[in-house]
This record gives sequence, structure tokens and C-alpha cells, in this order.
Amino acid sequence: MHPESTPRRITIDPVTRIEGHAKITIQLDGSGAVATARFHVTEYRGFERFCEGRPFTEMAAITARICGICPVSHLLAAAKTGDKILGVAIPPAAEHLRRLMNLAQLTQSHALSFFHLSSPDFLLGWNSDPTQRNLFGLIAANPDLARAGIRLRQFGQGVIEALGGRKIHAAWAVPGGVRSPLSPALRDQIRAGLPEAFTIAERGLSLFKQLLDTQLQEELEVFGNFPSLFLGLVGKDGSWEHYGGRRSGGIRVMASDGSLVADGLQEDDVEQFLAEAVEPWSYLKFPYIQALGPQAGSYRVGPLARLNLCDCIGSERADQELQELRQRGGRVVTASFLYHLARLIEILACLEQMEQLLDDPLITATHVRARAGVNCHEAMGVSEAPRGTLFHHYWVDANGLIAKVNLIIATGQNNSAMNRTITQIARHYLADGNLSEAMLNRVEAGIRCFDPCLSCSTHAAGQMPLLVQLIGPDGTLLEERRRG
Amino acid sequence: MSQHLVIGYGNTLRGDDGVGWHIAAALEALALPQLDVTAVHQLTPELAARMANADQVVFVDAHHGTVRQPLALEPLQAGAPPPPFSHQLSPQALLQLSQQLYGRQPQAWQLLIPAQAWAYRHGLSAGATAAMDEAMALLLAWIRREAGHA
Repeated sequence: MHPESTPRRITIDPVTRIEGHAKITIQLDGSGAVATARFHVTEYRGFERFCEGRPFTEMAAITARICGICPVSHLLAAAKTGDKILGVAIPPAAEHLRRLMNLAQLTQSHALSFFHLSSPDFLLGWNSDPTQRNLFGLIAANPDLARAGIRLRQFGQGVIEALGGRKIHAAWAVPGGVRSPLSPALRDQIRAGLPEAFTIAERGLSLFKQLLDTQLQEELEVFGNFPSLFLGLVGKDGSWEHYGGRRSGGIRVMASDGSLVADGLQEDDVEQFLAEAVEPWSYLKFPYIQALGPQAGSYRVGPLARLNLCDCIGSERADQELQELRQRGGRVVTASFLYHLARLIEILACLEQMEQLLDDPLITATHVRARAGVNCHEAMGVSEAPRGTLFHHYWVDANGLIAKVNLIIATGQNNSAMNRTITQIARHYLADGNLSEAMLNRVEAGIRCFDPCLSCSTHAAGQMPLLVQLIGPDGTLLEERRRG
Repeated sequence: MSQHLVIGYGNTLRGDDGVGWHIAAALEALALPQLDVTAVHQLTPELAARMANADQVVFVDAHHGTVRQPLALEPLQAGAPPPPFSHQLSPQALLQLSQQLYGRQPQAWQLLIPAQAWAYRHGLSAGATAAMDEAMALLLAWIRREAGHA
């Protein structure tokens, strides 16, 4: 315990088990209570700038390099933007194949987030030895779960590799469709992996729901539980949607009371609908709904948003889980801690939808690419990445060379929510001046609810340091901790 | 079950850093029976499952410092301390992971390739290309010796 009158400085560095570099500062007011907490993203790469001058046909391959965790998301958003520059409707089989790859991407990314990055907190405890609170500690405590996570991630990556020829940075989706069809043999190989993947997904769900019912109840209230807007794609029938295309019902924005702020919004309208604020203390922008302003217009995206926005998922087992989620958290779930549960439900949804796609004879059709020249000079593409809605916006010249790029990344859209979440956690656990390791890990874990990908959101390469600073009312750095 | 595994890793967008990747890709193209080959960007936990199915594994990577000449397979042991993050592991950590998760680890070596050009570029420098040829000959001899492949 530290008396309020004694200046201290806390730094935690790095913020672990996220993708990228970050720092957290906790600002105290005159009474020593937490005034605010800020999540600073301290890395920068500038992908938007160095794409200028490149042919738009290269954008899928270039932007996929933004991230080694979710390259497929950029691949698909870039390919979809390229489709619109060509002015073509891609062959139905190509859309099936892109969907299949995105489902695999969501599966493997969510598996990494839950089984390897976040479950050490749930299973080893907030007070456990921080040197053991990682994948290796998890292996020691629960090797079966660690193996299950590895198998599920392997399955998702295997599908991506089967389709694109490699697990990471497969430049397979291109403007107009995809480079190669799926052979019946590879389809059967993917299908053969589904039963084990279902078993693992359901095991993860069962385990996490049990933890929520027994030992993670406080987290539901404290880890970023607040009303906000939610934004994401939905299907034409209001169902869960991850890709768009022929099934798209556009972008939906919903308030916490279930009212619709926007519905059927097309990505071409997004530039007028959204604005991006910047703050001097972070490279990560703060997108918001322009008409509502930076505060009221801030919103959340990602797994929880997608489940809040949809009327149903459209597959049996995932819909049962969606109903349970809503019984637990209400029609519109505001507890950010339930992003973890939403991820597990989405894994189940992905596996069910993969099964449906693989059963459709169209999945092995061989006409998978439409060809055309430059027919539009400006286009915006959208897809749902594991962490939320991803927009690519390109301007090209008559030769198809990129004149300007704007990327609106999922993690950036959760920026305000992440800051509100860590403020809420810091206020709850720091109110008595307790600066314990377990408390600081909870602050970090608040960020991990959103599974942020800072490499994507600032388009930066990351190693993941986290610095946490406690700052007094006069701006004095009182204490700081860094990890790593 | 694969008895011999070659894991080549590195970033092919950073010039010679990708030499391990290129070597694995070239080996993979030969489609040698009973040889499992994978070319990856970096070492991730999933590889432990693949390693647990192998009796012997060689990690091929670019190296910035002094490299033994002529190139040679250097034995590796498990037991590196657990890293704070889990996206990018060392070969030693992967061996430890394989042992902890699957109860077995293959006999392991590393083959380090001298590299000089680390800038943003595709392709290898002349020096790394020559080293790649030497490494391929060494690996093929190892495979022939250990697995009896032609």
C-alpha cells in the first residue's frame, strides 16, 4: 500500500499476450482516485503511405503483410475492393471459397486468442505467478486444453493452406475472384477435420461457461461493461455475416437498448458516416459515427458486436449458444468480458458454416475468377476480420496505380471501448491504492477482451511490450512497471 | 508417420532472412518419401504437434553472426526458458513444447546459413544463394544417410 501523498510511478512493460506495442497510463485525481486510464499504441508503420504508386492488383498481397495473425482479413478486404475497381461480380464459387477461407481465419485466430492468450488468466488465476501465466504455464496446468487449442488452430491454418497454398500471406484471393479452385480431394480433407474441431470448440464453450458461472462473475461487471453502439455486417435476412457479398444486408449499427442507429448501410457510404479522431498520445485512431460525435458516436466491433447485431446465426448449434448468451447478458450484451464467449460461439458458427459450404457442390466448381480492366477509380471494400469490421478504401488512376489508401481497422474501432474498459477496471481495483501484479494483469486483461491487433491497427510490426504508468494529479509520474 | 522433418523459417520479404524458408521450399519440391518439410515465416506452437511425429528434425534459419564453415548440422537440446509470448518460439522452446505436450521430442539439429542482406527485398544475395546450394547438398546427404533416400 502506498499513501496517496507519496508520489509513485508504475510502469508495466510490456503489455503481454496482445499483438503489438502498447502502454497504459493511469491518471489519478486530487483525491488519489483513478480519473482516467489510457491505452497508448506506440508503434507506427504507415502502410497507407507506401502503398501509393503500387498497382491495385498488388494490394491483396501487400496489405496481407500487415499482419501474420490475420492476413486473410486484409487479403479479402483488398480483393473485394479490387472487385469493385474492376466493376465485376465474382463467380459464385469464388465467393464460396473466399467465405471458406474467412471462416478458417476466424477459427484459427479466435482459437489463438482464447486457448493460448487469454485462458492462462482464467485457468491459472489473476494472482498466479506472472512468469507462468502464459502458454507454457497453461501446458503445465492443463496440457489437454493446450493441445486442443493447438489442434483447432492447426485445423484453421490447414484450411487456409489448402486453399491458398500457404498458412500465412497466401496471395490467393485476387480482384475478380480467387487464383485456384478447391479440388474434391482437398474438400474431403478439410471435411475430415471438422468432427475434432467441433469437439474442441464445444469443450472450450463448456469450460468457459462453467468458469463464468463459478469464478468469473465479477469480471462481467467490471471488465468494460457499459452501454455503447455496436457496428458490423449482417446478412440480408439479418443473420450473422462475416464476408458480405451476395448475402450482405449491409452494415448495421445498434444501440445497447436494441434500437437501430443504421441498417443496410453500404460500405460506399461509410466515409460520410464515420469520422476518425486522433489523440496526441496514441498512434491508434478513434473512429466514431460522425453525426453523433466522438463520445456518443463511439462504437464496438468484433465478435460480441456481430452477435449483438444479428437476429440469428443461421446454424443450429451456434444459435443455441447465441440464445444462451442473450439469456446471460441480455439481447444486447454490454459486458466486454463476454467477447471471449462470443469468440467461442463464433468458432462453432464458423465450423457449422464451413460444413454447409463443403456440402455444396459449388465449392469445387472451377470457374473462380472474373477478369476486367479498371472500370472505377475509387472503391471501398469491407469484410469482417476476427477483431471486427475491416474497411479498405482505394483511389486509383487510369492505369490502376494507387493514388491514395485509407484503411479502417477493427482494433481502431474498438479504441474508445478499450480505453473505457481499462478506466473501469483501474477505478475498481485501484481505488484502494492497490498496485499489485494481479491488479495490473486485470488491466491488461481488459485490453485482451478485445484481442487487439496493434500491428494491423497502426499497420505496424509488433513485439508486444506494455508499459503501465500511474500519474498523479499534477502530472507527476508516480510509478511505472514494464514486463517482458 | 513422418520420421524426418525439416523446418525452414524466415521472412522472405527481408532478403537473406528468408533463406531457411527458400531451402525448405526447394526440398519440399523434391517430394522425397518419408520426409516431412515445412517452410514457415516463424516458429509457432503448432509445429510441436508435427515434431512429435518425427524422429529427427532439422531447423534451417538465416544467421547474422559467425557461422561454422563449412556448414554443418549442430545438435540442439530442449530446455530454453519459456518466452513471455507465444507467437515466435526458438527451436529449443519448440522441443520443450513437444516434450511437454506430447511426451516426446525428436533428435534435433539446427543448420544456420550465413546471411548478409536483410533489407526489404525479395530474393537472396549471391552469398546466401551459394550458401543455400551448400545447405541443400548437406541436407540431401543427411536425408540419404538417415532415411536411405536416393
